[in-house]
Amino acid sequence: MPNIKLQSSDGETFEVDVEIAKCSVTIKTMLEDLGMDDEEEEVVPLPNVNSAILRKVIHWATYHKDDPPPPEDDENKEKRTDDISSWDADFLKVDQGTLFELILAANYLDIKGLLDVTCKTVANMIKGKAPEEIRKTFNIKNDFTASEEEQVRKENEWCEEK
Amino acid sequence: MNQPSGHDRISPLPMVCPLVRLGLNSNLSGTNKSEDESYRFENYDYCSEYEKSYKNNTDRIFHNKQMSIDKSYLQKQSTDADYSTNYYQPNEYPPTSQEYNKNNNLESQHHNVHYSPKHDVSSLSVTSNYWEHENYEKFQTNSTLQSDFYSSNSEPPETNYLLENFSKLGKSSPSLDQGYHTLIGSNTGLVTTNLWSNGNYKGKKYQTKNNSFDRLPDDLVVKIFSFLTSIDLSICAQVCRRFDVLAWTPSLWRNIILDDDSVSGDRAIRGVLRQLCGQGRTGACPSVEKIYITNGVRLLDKSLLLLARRCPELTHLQLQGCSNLTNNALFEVVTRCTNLQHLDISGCIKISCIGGLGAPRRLQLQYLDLTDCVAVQDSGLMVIVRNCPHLAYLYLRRCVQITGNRQ
Repeated sequence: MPNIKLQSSDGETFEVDVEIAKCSVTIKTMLEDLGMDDEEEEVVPLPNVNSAILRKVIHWATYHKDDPPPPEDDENKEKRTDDISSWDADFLKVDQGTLFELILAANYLDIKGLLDVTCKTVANMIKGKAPEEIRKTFNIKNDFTASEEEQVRKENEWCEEK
Repeated sequence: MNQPSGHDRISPLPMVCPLVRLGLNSNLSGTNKSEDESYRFENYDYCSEYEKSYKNNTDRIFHNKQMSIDKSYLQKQSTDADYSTNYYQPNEYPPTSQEYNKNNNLESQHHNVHYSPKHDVSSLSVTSNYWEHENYEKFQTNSTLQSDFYSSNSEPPETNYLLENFSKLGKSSPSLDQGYHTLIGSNTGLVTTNLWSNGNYKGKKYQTKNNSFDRLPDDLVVKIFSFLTSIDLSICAQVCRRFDVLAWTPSLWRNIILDDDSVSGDRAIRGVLRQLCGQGRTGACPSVEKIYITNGVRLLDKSLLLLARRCPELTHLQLQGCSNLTNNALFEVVTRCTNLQHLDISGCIKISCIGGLGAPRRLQLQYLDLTDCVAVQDSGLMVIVRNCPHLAYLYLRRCVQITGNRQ
């Protein structure tokens, strides 16, 4: 199988099987548009992904290379977050900064499977928590004024009848 | 200089030297910590304009939506960059010449990008990303340093430090001394505002610190929210201003799922519809398509009537175990929501019929679940069947009054 070289934002080059790289729609489109020949030693620059994240992404893509293409978003389907495979769950046991970097990278590289699973992981970190707990988890500043907070609490008080 | 036109997002800067600005704020120098919110806002607007326009810029590149950069805008950027050189310098505490050079290099590198005559988009994105990454780290450390410093010293550092600092820069001003405390006061906020974004919240600006979520553009936050239930969404709305805005994105409320029996279905429906359609009596929320009420969440007739009025595009309605609902309210829903195809009223023990005694109505229902609707009798079922010519699925589990007799 032919390989291509991917270059991260900090200049590190990764040699990857073309088929694995093509799980990124961005790279796939780029290769198609540019009509890169297999013989050519082209390096694909990925200016939005640093080497640490790119290494993780390639790791994920290599493991999932034989997955069937992810289904299109079906509005009728209930959005589940409890269907994360145990390998993915282990893979995503990373610090919060890395997790969010992976979301950005998956979005930029257009890797739907990775984007879904990372977003689900963050959604699971939100689920079942009170507003203050969510703020703590993600280090979010409460920027409501007192009256706004009262107002927004009133508007949403139906969800707190526990 | 020429003001750029057609760049509304990059609002024109007030063309004031920072030092003049400090003089204006000198009345605050006594308090030195800018607790006053409006003051901070004002400073924020001004000081991080550079950051903001920059961030806008990177966002744009990120989304690949808007690639064009015109020349007047580039010139604009360079002026901004000059500002920030002045402004950031005091953050380097104490600034070694090495650091200073490093910072300058960064700035100038940044300059070059924007002055690049080819307007080469790829190089722009490389460098801007580089800039952002580097600085993200850098400012984080910086802010930690700064906050550590303040936690150990209630007083701001001595003035001559900064004076020295400014003279290194070749900047000096008679008003410097006076305004210095103010500068530091605002700097505590400023250092951490590096990646702040802002937006509109009920006419006011909202700002966000550089936590994990602030690195994500709105559409990705909405994507994360799309995996949350209706209840979690309304909790998210209470976290901060940005979340309040994003949690009520109409597309997130296409499906309303209430499945926790600690929640009052009536209050929930009222609260959600008020958020989505506003306070007016006539507002409608066409975005709502599916409503699932299960697991013992209670709903009264009045809420169902509200749904009928406000959600004309409803296609799916599940009202499991809403034992108080009556025929009238249900009929109102199927009449008004002309797209309703899927109706599950299992366990609604008061329902005996869908439709009145009058002429048959041509309802669009294709799926009807009447499981445990013990009040349904043969006569009611006849009316239902007559009113629903498109019915493809009909469930009558434990409808004990239904007989096998032809009428």
